[in-house]
Amino acid sequence: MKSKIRPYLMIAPAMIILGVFVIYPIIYMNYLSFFSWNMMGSMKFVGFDNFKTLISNKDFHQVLGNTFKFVFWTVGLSVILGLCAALYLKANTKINAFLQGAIFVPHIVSLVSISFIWMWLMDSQYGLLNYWLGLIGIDPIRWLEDPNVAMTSIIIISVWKSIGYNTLILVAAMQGVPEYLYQAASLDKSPKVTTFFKITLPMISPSLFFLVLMNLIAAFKIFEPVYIITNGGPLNSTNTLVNMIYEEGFVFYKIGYASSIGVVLMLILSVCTVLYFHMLSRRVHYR
Amino acid sequence: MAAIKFEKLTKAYDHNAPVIQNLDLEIEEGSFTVLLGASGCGKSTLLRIVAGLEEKTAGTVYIGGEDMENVEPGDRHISMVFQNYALYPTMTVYDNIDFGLKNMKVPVDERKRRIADVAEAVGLSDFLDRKPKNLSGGQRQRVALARAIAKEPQLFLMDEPLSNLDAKLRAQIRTDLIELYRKLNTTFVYVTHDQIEALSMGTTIILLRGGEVQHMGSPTEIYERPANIYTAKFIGSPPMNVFDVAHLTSAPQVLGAKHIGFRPEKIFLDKSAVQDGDLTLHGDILARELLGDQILYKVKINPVTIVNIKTFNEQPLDYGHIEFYIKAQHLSFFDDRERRIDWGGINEI
Amino acid sequence: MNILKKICKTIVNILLVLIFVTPFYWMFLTAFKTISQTIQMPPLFYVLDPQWSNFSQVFEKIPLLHMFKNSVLISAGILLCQAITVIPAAYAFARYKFAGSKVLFGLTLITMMIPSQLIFLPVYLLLSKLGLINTYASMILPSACSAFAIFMLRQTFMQIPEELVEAARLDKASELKIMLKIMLPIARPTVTTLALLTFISSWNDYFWPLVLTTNDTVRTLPLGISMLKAVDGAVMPYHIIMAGNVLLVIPIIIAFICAQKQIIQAFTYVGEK
Repeated sequence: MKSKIRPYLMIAPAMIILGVFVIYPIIYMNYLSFFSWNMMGSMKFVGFDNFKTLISNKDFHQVLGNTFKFVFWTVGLSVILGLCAALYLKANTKINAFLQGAIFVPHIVSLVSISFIWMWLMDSQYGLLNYWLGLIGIDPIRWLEDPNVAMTSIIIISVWKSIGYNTLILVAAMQGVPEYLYQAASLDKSPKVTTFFKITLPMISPSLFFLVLMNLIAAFKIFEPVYIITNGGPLNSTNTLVNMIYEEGFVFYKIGYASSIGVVLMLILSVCTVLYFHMLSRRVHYR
Repeated sequence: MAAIKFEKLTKAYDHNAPVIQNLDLEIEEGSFTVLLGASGCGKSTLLRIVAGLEEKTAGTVYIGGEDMENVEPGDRHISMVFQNYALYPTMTVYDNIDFGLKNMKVPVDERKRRIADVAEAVGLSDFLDRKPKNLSGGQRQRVALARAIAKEPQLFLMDEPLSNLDAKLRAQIRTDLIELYRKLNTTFVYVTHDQIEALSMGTTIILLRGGEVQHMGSPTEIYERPANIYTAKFIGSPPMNVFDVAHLTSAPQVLGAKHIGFRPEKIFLDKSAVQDGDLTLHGDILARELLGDQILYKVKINPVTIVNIKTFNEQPLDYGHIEFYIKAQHLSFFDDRERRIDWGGINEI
Repeated sequence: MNILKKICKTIVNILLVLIFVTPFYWMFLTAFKTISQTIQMPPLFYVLDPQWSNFSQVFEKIPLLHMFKNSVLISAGILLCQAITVIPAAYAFARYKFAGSKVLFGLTLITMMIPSQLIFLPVYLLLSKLGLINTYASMILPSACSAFAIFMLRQTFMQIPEELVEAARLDKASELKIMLKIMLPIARPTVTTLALLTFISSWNDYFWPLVLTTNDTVRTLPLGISMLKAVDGAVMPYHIIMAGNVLLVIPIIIAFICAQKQIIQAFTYVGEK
């Protein structure tokens, strides 16, 4: 009898924490999205009103657009550049190890630091970036103040931070490809490009899939740089979903409304995850 | 008294057909019993049920006359050597041996003495501080043995302990195990699929197939007088030649015989030694293998029958047609249900 | 051809270093500049008289030591709690078959896909209902378990041969002893890796402290550093912000330099699953 309940006792602490601090909140959030509530007074059931407001809200459209723009460019660039860097650094040498380390450091540094460092580098008057651009004759760019540029700046910062991790994973994946495949390819006189597309890429595709999903989830939850550097501005041009949830919830105390944005984000993340597992189950196994 | 006794033992995994059904078996105290069989015959399952690592579905298991129902593996006074040795990788050799003793609450001095003794006995005294990963395959094997011996169990269980070693080491450890068995004088139960191991070490061999005992007996008996065709063909390398008597033009008349069998090494080629009643066969050599101390031939005696011949210390024969002979007392006969027929033709073994 | 290739490679290498190291160099440099040096054009690429006073100003503007203490306590608390929740759960999921294990494990995996940025609002409401806002508990509990760590550790446990457990059972070891004396030591590399990852992420975390605190009682370093921004109003005091930044980044960079191999391995290991 004792052995029957043992496993349940062992998983209980973990299940309680995950249940109370992840499962329950996600259910509670869905519940709240049907109410109007300012945290103080009583909750009022409003049905789908929050979602209706959301759909007709121009700001929300912009935020959704911003978020997708951010996700598309950040994930695309950081994975592709990570792939390039990995190809460049895959040989196991001391210099490469050092460079790989250098690229990786931003990944383990707090986003607060990263945000401030780049805010300073991108300062339109005294920033290092504009100084250097000036040296090669380019007019100063208002990196963070120009609504047309600000999102690009946030994307640059995010890509800069996440390339290192992608490179790391892809280098490991590439080093895991057995050497004899390359030897066979070179015996077959395969050009380098063909070797990459026919051998390297298929062999590392599991890692690549994994990376894309991780990057997607990380990109959709983008918050810190936006909150610290631009606070969504200028003119709402860098506002993203999480930042909007934070604003509506913690600044305007529109709990139900904020929750409905959360529900939208949850749906987006679910689609990503389901797509990922769908592709995972269909992908060819090479190992 | 029996060291191990199974009564109506049945074992089934989940809802599949049982691997072992209603098995009654006794393993004699002080014997070196080998459970032999092809993979999937239930030999390992049987051993693991004895160890208590596997739950039986029905029946009773006795060790030393005691019912093992609800007795934990650790309380059965047994030691087991696993196929992959199952050494604790994070512990030194000393701690590997000590772990079980400590759990059995053996006093400190006694533990130290036992470990020193057993390390000496298996030649590991200089390696007690090493971790398993820093040992060779043979050394790991010996650690596993030392760990088993130090517990001074009433029963040794071994699950294919030699299969991860190379051929040379295997031969050496076989003789070591025989020595160990003679010295310890306890019951050994040894699982293997290798007939050489079974024949060389066992005092009793139990040949299993589909959870049923095909033949239980001494190595000599199982080799000379196999209880059925399966046993006859399982033991020996190459195995016994067995074929339908209908394919013979002349054969000793044995009542109810459907199959005839003889061992490749019992065949002789010297015509002058042939006596009345001996079997004479002839055929074409298909293949010849010179193995140094022995020569193997594959001979086709009729369109559907091929006979293996093994000869020692003779000039290799040229390819072509040959005649060969088998003494009457070396012939085995099996009935239509493939069981051995005692036909009285064998007086000498 | 070969020489050309070498030159190209060197140029690319230098560019990479520039892109990824300069920002940190600039941070260190600014931290030692005077305010007028920070806005000097063309900018200074070295400092002859390091302004250590920038650091003492950080201490004046935020309760740095207190926040440092909070960071340490909270990171340690999270590590401890995760050890208590994750290890037994991973072990049970790896070793036992029990009714509902698949469903519960599936549920655990789903929680892995839910970022804290999605659920912070209800979590805040929950914690405030429990009266835990501005307590250490509120900082630790939401991170007290990691589905990801359970997943990783379970993988490791499952790779350990069953025979080792059986050998231990024959050696009369209790289940607890098997877990603590046999399985856990074998899984130690994974445990260390996970601990490292958890520590780095909780040390760096800005989000939970931001949404779950309303005063300085349990605020951590990253939040403190971000508060430097608001102090002076008009002009951003970058020399002071960077001084604070240096204090925040230095432990991580030192750790990275000392244990680069382990840290890189830790992150790679995780990515390869």
